[in-house]
Amino acid sequence: MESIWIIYISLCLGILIGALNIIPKKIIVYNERLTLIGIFSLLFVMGLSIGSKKDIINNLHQVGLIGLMYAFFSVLFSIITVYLLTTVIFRRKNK
Amino acid sequence: MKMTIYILVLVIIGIFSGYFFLGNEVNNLDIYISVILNITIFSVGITLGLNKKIFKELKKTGKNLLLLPIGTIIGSLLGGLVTGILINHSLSLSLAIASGFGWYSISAVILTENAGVEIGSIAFITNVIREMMAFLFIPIVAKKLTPYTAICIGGATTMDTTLPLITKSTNEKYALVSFIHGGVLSFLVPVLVPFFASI
Repeated sequence: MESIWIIYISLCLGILIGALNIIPKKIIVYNERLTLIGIFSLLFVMGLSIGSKKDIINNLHQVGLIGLMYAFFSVLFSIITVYLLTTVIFRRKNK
Repeated sequence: MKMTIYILVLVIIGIFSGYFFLGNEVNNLDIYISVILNITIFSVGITLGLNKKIFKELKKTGKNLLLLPIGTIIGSLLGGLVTGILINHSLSLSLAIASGFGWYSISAVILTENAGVEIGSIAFITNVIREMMAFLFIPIVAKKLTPYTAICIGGATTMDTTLPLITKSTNEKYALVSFIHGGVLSFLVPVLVPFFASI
């Protein structure tokens, strides 16, 4: 897959430019606007292609249910893992 | 929260327009989409790079603070795996969806481009719901469990959208913890999502 490398290159270039602080503050303000415009247009196009695919539209409730499951289990296991990690480590520290 | 509502409305308008005005024909927008995606990722990168505060604070406060984001990552990916097994998704896709860590916009657009619109829309809904769960459960979990477990719910959103709520539900001391947690996870979203989607 080559598109992943293009994504990584774009990301690293951005981080580098941001970290080096080479863009004047006046222009940096427009960067957040650029992110917003990019995200808005991409999500609108995502909406368009969801709408044009009747099989997804007909299964929208299923997509919602799957999303709910992913979110629920991610949150649940995060809480359990973080609880175990932090309490075990802090207990060890207190000893 | 305001932004989430704007974006939800935008996506719904998109769905309606697509439903009524586009047929099932494949449109050749792909090349433009990937150009816009990479410009957007580049711009996100600049914002991340400007946030040197995270690394400075991490150096100052020590590596112990990394334990929290590590716990959130392990837990989120485990949750993704469990869901994937329950609904018969491939391992790599379920990990890719779970590694959105609540940052629905970026994870959805990356996955729409790399894994198709169905997985992209699942990632979108998953991570919108995660953000909503954060708003609902952070105050309760902070009270009944520990501040750390409350922070982990928010995933990548704890450096911006859910930060005020976390500060309010715990105390000032945890604002920095929450910011670093969200910052580390935000860095990892554009790295892990395409990675898992490509394996």
